[in-house]
Amino acid sequence: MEDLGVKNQEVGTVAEKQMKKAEDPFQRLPDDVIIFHIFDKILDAKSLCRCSCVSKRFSFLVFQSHHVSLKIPIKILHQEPNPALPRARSALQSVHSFTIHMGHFPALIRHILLRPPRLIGVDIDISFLSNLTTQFLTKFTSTKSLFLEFDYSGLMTTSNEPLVKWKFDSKSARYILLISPRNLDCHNIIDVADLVLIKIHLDCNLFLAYNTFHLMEMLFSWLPESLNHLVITDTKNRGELNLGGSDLVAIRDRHANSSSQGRIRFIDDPLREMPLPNGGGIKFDHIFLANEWNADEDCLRIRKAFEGRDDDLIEPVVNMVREIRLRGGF
Amino acid sequence: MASKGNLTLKSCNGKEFIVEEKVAVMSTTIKNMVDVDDSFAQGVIPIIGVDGKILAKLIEYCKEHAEADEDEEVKSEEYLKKFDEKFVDELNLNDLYDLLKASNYLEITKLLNLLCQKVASMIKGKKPEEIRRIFNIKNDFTPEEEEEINRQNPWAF
Repeated sequence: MEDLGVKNQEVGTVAEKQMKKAEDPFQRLPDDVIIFHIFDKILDAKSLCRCSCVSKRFSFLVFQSHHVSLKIPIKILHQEPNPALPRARSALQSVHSFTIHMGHFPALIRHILLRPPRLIGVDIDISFLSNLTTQFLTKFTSTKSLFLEFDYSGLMTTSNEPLVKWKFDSKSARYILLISPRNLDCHNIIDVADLVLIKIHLDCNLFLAYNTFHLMEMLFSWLPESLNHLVITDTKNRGELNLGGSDLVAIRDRHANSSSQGRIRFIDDPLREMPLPNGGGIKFDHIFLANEWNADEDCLRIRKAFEGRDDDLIEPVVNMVREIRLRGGF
Repeated sequence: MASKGNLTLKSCNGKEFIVEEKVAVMSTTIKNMVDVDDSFAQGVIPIIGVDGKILAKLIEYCKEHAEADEDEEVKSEEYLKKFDEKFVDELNLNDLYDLLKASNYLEITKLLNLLCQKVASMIKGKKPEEIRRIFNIKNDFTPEEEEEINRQNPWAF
């Protein structure tokens, strides 16, 4: 290992070399190299968090990183199954095929959504998530770019769940949730139990969207001054938020001047102020059910739904629907 | 004495290397020295704090990259990528850090990035105790502090 060709000129004995080998090599590096060249290449927040547990120096340096990427696992806490609803419970774990005849959908969804969502046997660990954002992310006081991904990969393995898209419209500062029932097959609705399954399916999606928005609210209430790029996305490709410096300044100002109450709320009549399982004060600003319309009808339908009370949302919703159609989402 | 177009670099333990100028100026620090003071270009450039073994490694890296910058045909991007991979894989931990420190001091950005990427990949995904073991880092937290840290960050483990 030693280069013997230059041994006469090498300073230091073998013993010293060995000692050098046994010491912490990071002691040879200045702080800025460790932070900006090494830690900034790690990105992954979980690894960065583990670094903070290695030593005091690591702990001091790691939170000065400029770039952080965090996968937020949406975990479901399984509770005792409710014996009254055995089918509903099993459905959550292995739903893979329903067909709803599209003509039936508006009436059906009205029927099932009029009842408040109640997730049977499941709950999302919100305290874990708020801990993550408030305790951990807030330590990165000089972060410049933050990449967050909501990880839904552990949930609902069905390929036929309803198409859900979310969007935060940074101009109007409001959340939009778009649900298309297209993939929710329910050819053979025979009894109430099947309706319950569909309802659970939709409830789950509403619930997850609610949590996505709720987490975004939590994040927005903490945005370090240094931040100039924020990306929020999710593993199911339901939506993406990509904000630059000026958007972030606007959001920071708004959050300094108002509480999150009322920023997220349901507006579609049958869905208005739907109570959510954890009883929080945050409600969706917009939930929008898209049906099997042709592209020309989109504008009219959206306009009709939003005109007069939420004119500023017409444009973002139209764009959202157009985007989904372009990708063949409906 | 180096002939025209060549520079002489001298390690801290007295070993001299004659290298082409285009290779030496991959280091921004050396480039600035040569640009500012012509006598460096004529005489010997002392490389403080870098021993012969590490300097030889640095020169090996810079030579490949300087030649690639000059002639993309001979040394393709793919070739360089393979060279880089082999270069870092063959380093022991001690040399890796000596090189890292030297490439930072000499401002050889490409090499610094390559080496730091290697260190980052050694850290990524590992548990704190594994990181300490790999790098011989002393755990200087008290048991109470450690318990508090673990309590705060259950999600990371």
